[in-house]
Amino acid sequence: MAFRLAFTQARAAVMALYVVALMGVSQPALGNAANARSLCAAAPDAPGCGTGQAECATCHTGAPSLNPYGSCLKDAIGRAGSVDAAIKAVMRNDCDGDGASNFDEFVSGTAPGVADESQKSRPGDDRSCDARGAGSGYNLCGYDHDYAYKRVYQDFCGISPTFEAFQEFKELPLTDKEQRIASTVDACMKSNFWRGKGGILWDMAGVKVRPLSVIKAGDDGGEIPLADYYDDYNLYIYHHVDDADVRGVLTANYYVTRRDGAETSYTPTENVPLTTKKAGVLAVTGSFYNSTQQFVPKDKRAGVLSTSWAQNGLTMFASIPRSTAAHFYRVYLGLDISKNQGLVEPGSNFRLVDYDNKDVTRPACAACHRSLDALTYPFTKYNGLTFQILGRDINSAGGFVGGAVGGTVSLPPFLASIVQGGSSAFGGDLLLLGEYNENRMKILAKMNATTEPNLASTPSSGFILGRPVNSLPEWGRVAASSNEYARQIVHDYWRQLIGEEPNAETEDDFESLVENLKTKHNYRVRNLLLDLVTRDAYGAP
Amino acid sequence: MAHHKTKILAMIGMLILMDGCSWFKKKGRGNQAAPRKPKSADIRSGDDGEPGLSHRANVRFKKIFLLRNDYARALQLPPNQLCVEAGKDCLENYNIVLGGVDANLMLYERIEKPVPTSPIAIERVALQACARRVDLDFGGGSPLIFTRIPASSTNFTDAHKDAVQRLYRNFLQRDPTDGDYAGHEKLLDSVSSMVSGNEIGKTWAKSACWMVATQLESVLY
Repeated sequence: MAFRLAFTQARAAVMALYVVALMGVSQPALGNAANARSLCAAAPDAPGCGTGQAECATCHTGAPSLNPYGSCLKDAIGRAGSVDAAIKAVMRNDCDGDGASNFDEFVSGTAPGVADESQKSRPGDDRSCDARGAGSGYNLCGYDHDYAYKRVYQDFCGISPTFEAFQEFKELPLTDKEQRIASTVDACMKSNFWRGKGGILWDMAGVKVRPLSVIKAGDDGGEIPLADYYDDYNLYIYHHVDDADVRGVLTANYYVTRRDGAETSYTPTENVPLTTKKAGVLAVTGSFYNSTQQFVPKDKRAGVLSTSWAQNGLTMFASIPRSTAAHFYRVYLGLDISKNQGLVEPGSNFRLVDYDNKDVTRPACAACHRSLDALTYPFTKYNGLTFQILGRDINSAGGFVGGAVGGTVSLPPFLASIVQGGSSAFGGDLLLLGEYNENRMKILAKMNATTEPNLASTPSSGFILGRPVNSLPEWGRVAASSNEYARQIVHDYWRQLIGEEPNAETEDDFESLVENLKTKHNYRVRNLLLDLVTRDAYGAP
Repeated sequence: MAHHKTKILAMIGMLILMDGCSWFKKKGRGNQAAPRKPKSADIRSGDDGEPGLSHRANVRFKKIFLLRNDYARALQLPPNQLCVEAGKDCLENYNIVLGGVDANLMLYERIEKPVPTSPIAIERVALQACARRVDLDFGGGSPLIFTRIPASSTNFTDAHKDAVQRLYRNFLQRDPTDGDYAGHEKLLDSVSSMVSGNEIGKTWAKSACWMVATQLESVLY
């Protein structure tokens, strides 16, 4: 009960913030998606405009406060009369006074609203790259194999090469150097440093999974075990190594188990056996599902989108799990709705309805919710932590989730006998934690008849990136095939291996890697990385 | 008390003598009014040339895993015993500022740039790790880096040179330049003026190790 109360309070806090945000909307707002797109239309080559609209930080230090570029632009709008005209008018100005024009800053990938003192203080050096590199041991004119080899060792193997190995490499002919770099990448991608628990890919997966140890079930379980997100880590890593298709992260209709050892291995599996450690709430639903801990039928699975963690850990008590959909949209497609990104109009046939009584149809809200709600409907048959059985909401009837605290499940006696009887004893009104349920919205509508009376009509079809989808697996397939997904994968590795955003000099490399991932590399991350390390962006000092 | 005083003097000496280290000397030759950022090409250069800036200069700091592994191999110490405080691996205390992640703290993404406390953490780890190596090498077993360093000599001997070479090869995968050797010789002079007797060799060894381990070429890549 206390557990649910905490979530209710959290939800109230979110609503309060929402109201505050809406109050802000009552003033004329220039920081919107249309203006952000206008900015990119005026400087189309600017890094950061890959998604079609500039980031909020281009003009704001934190909404509604403006940075020098935002102030500049605001003044210009007053004079020019339109946003488009104002953007062009200030393009050649240097709003932040750092010596580089706004246009130059857009093109070079620096912030036009943040003074970069190094732009002023950097001494000019008109010598050729050969002359500048002379005596440094580096080739400043382009790709430097020695530099790249050392870096590959550090990035993929987690350690610098030995002095002897480095000297030996430097003596190799060029073609051998290229082969050695590739074989080093290949070999180290098999290492635990790269693919093991706690390795590089593990940490990259963590950004997507957003683990929360206190509610973890299974190994390393927490105090309130709700789901075992190691299954999600495994799904992610399996599809990022060897010859796996990386689209499988969002489309797999199987799960993946991990075996730790000198070389960590990942194996696809139809079902994941219920953990014996801290099973928590998984034990209850698992008792209806042959002692497994993932409960979605094979034809309804969509990789990490439909795991117990996605449902119990992200959706939790939400009837229409907008935050779950927005989370996946953000972490896998790089589109953050809270930053006005990815607000793709679902089309004139889509009608936004306030199914859960959240006022989403108000004009100020609908601007985002037309996209967000359409994105979310395919998630609505995947239940979170709402537990309904035979007309009784067990969460509020007492103690179910609370009973899971400490890793043990203490079921009310009447429920224990039902669980022992198995699922065949029940008809419609049975809704288990973390399961797929065709009748979920109807059951929730009965439960929440006073607060969310229209829930039963909520559709399970929706839209993603402007395309209609009828189910979550279809949502996953459209997402996984999108340019946005490929961009995000390349971007994740780019940040991991290059450490900075693509800029004017490296933008072409970045874009060709995105294209190659989809075509030449057939969605194989291994091939993508072997390609990436040959690029100047990686290997030119 | 005397022991602590010696340590403090040595630390002050090291800070003063950083000027003797090649990278810091090069930095000083840049634009005096506005010191430029260190770039990879400069870091590597030593005193042997006058290279210019790489316009890319995408230099990154070594995250905790890389720093740990590189230090451990350079000093031939177990990775979890580079720095032990209160019986625990102290690197874990600096996990976040050294670019680690911690799901328990809901910190899922690494810092890409060092924060103000990152150098403090690196220097603390380096100092302890170097002290462990020196204690082992001067402890009567089979020394691995500081072999045959005279305990009280103020002369920069071949043994000192050999140790400097090992440090540069182990930490930086290159041989020291003449400028690098000169910096460490100057370090010995300064150490000799601050400590005496059998402490000279050991104090120099710790200082020399720390200087190489914490220079930008060692912590950036």
